[in-house]
Amino acid sequence: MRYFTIFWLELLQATRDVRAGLVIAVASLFFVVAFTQGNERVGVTASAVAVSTAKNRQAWLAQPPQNPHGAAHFPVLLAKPTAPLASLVAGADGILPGHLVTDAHRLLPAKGTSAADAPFAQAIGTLDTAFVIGVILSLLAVLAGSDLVAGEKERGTLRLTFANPVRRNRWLLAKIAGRTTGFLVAVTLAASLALMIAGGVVLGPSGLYEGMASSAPNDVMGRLGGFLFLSAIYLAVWITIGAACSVFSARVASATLAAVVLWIALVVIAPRAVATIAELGDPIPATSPARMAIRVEEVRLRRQQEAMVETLKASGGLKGAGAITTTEGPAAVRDIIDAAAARAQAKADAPIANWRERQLTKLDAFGCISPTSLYFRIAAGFAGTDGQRHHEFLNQASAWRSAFLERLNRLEDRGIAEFSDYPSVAPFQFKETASQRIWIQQSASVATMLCMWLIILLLCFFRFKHYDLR
Amino acid sequence: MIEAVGLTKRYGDHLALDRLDLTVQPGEVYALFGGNGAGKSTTINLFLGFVPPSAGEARVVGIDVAANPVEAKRHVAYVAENVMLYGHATARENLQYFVELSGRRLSKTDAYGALEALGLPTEAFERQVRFLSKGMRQKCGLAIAFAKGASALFLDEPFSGLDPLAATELQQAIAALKANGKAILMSTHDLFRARVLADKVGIMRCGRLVAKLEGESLRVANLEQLYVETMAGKSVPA
Repeated sequence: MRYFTIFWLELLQATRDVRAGLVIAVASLFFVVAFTQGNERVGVTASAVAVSTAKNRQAWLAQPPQNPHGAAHFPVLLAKPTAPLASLVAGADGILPGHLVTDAHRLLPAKGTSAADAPFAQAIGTLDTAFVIGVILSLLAVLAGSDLVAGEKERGTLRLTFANPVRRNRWLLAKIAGRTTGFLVAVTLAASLALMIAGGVVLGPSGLYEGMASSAPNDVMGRLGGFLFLSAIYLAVWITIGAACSVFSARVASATLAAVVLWIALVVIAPRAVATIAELGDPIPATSPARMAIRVEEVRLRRQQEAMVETLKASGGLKGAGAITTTEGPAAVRDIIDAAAARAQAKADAPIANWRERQLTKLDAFGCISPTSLYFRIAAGFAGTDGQRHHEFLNQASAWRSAFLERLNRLEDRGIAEFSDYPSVAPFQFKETASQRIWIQQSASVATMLCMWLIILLLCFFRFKHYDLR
Repeated sequence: MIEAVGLTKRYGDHLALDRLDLTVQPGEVYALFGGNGAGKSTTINLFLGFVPPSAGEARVVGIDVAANPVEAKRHVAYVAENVMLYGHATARENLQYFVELSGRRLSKTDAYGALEALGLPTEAFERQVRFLSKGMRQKCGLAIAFAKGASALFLDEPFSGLDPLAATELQQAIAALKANGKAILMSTHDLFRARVLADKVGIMRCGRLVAKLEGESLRVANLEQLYVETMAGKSVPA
C-alpha cells in the first residue's frame, strides 16, 4: 500500500507538471505529421498498384491477336498488398520497391525508392509513427527520467522520504513505475489528440483500413497490440535509462547531460556504428555481374528453346504458330528450360542472399547494443513492413506463378484453347502471416528488449542501494 | 527516547563526529549549537540512518538505527531547514503522503485536523505547496511529524530564514509537540528560541560536544557569551 501511494503521488505530480503538457504538445505535433504522411504513403502505394493494373489491362486490350495465352496474362497480375500497419511503420517498405508481376514472366517494381535515392530515410529514418516514438519520444522519455532521483535530492524531498520506513529499491521501482505510467498516459493523450486533428487518417480508408482489407481484422489488431506493447516497453526502457543517469548523479544538470549524451550515443551513433562494424571486411557483393550472368543465361536458354521448337516444327509435331501445343515434347522442353533458368537465378542471387544472411546475423548479435535499433526492427516486424514480408510475397508469388504456368501449359498441351478456361485459375492472394506467428517470430527480440529493461533496472537498484542521501 | 552512545563518524581521515553521548527523554527538547562542520548535521544524518556510524550507536526508542533502520524510522520524524515537499501536491496531499509512508492511514478530516493543530491557515490546506511561504511549509513539516505519531523528532535548523512572526508560531508548534511527549533533537543557531524551548543544550565544535548545559546551569547561563567563547575555543565548559 505504501509503495502504491508513492506510485500514485508520482502519477499525480505528472498530471500537474508543466512538462507533461510539453510532452503532449510535442508528441501531438509529431504524431499529426506522422499519421498524415503514413496515410499519404499508403495512398501512393494503392494508386501505384491501380495505375499498374490499368496499364497492364490496356496493354492486353491493345495486343493484336487476343490469344488465350495472352489473355491469361491479365489475371496473372500479382500485387503485394499494403502491409497491415504500413501507415504507422514505413520500415523496409519505405525504401525497398514493392512489386507487381505485370505478366507471367517478369517482375516489375511498382513503387518505392531505392536506398541510394533516399539518403534522408537511410540516415535519419522516415518520419513515421515508429520514428516519432523511437527517436523523438525516446529523447523526451530519457529527459523525463533524468530527474527522478537527482531532482528529489536537489529539492530535498529525498531526505524527508527516507526519514520514513521505506525500502530504497521498492521506492525506486514505485517511482519509475509512476513516472512511466504518467509518461505513457501523456503519450496516449497526445496520440488521441493527433487522431482527432488528423481526421482519423490512421483508421480511415487509406490507413489501417487498407491493412485490414488485406488481412483478417483480428490479425491487424494482434499486430497493433504488439506494436503498442513494444512501444510502451521501449519508452519504459528510456525512462529507466534516464533514471539510471539520475541515480549516478547528485545534480539534475549532470544527470540530464548524461542522459542526452547517452541518447545521442544509442540513438544516433550506435545504429550507424553497428552497420559499419557489420560491413567491415565483408562489403556487399557487386550485383551487376550477377544480373548480367542471368541475362546471358536467359538468352542462351531462349536460343536453345527456339532451336528445339524448330526441330519439332521440322518433325511436323507443331500445330499452330506462336504457341507450343502438341505432344509431350514442348512441355518437357519448358520444364528443362524453367529448371535451368531457376538454377541460374539461384546461382546469381546466392552471393547477395548469403551476404544478407551474414549481415542479419551480425545485426541480430549487435542490435541489442541500442534499444532504438532493436525497436525499429521489431516494430517493422509487427507492422509487416520488414524485408521478411517482402521476401515472403516474392516466394508466394513465384510459387503461384509456377503453378499457374503449369496449369496453363497443361491446358494448352491438351489442346484446350478457349478463353473462358483461363479465368478458372484461382487468382493470386497473398497470405498474410497471422499475428500469432508474428508474436512468435518477434518473441526473442521482445524478450531481448525486456531483458535490456531488467538489466538497467538492476543497475539502478545496485547503485541506489549506495546512493548518498546526505 | 533519543540516545547516542559513543557515536562516531569518520570520512576517510576526517573525523566528522567524535564519540558523541547524549540522551533526549520524552517531552524534552535538546538543542545542538555549533558552526558549519561542527557535526550537527552528521548527528542527525546518523539518527536518520542516512550514513552508517564508524563506531558507537544511535538509538531511537531503544532501537539501533544502523542495525534496524526501517523499524527505527517508524518512530522518527524529520523536519529540515527548508521543508521541501512535493510542490505540485497540496499541503493536505503531502501530509497524507508522508504519513502513509510511515505506515499509517490518515483520513482527509484527520489531515485537516493535523494541519490546523500546527497553525496552518485553513485556506492553505488545499493549496499546492509551491505556492506556500517558507513558514507555512515548515508548519506542514511539523504537522507531518505530529500526524505520524512519531515519538522522536529531528529538527534541522527549523527557524532558519523565518520572519519573527512565523518563527514565533513555529516555536509554539514545537512547544505543543514537546508538551505532547515527543523527544526532540534540534540543531539551531537561534539562541533566543532555544533558551525558551530547550531542556538541554549542547555546543559542538569540530565533531565534538564541547559544552553541555541542562537544568539549573542552563537557566542561569549566558548562552550567547558561552556560545561565542566556545566557538572561539576560549573555554570548554564541562
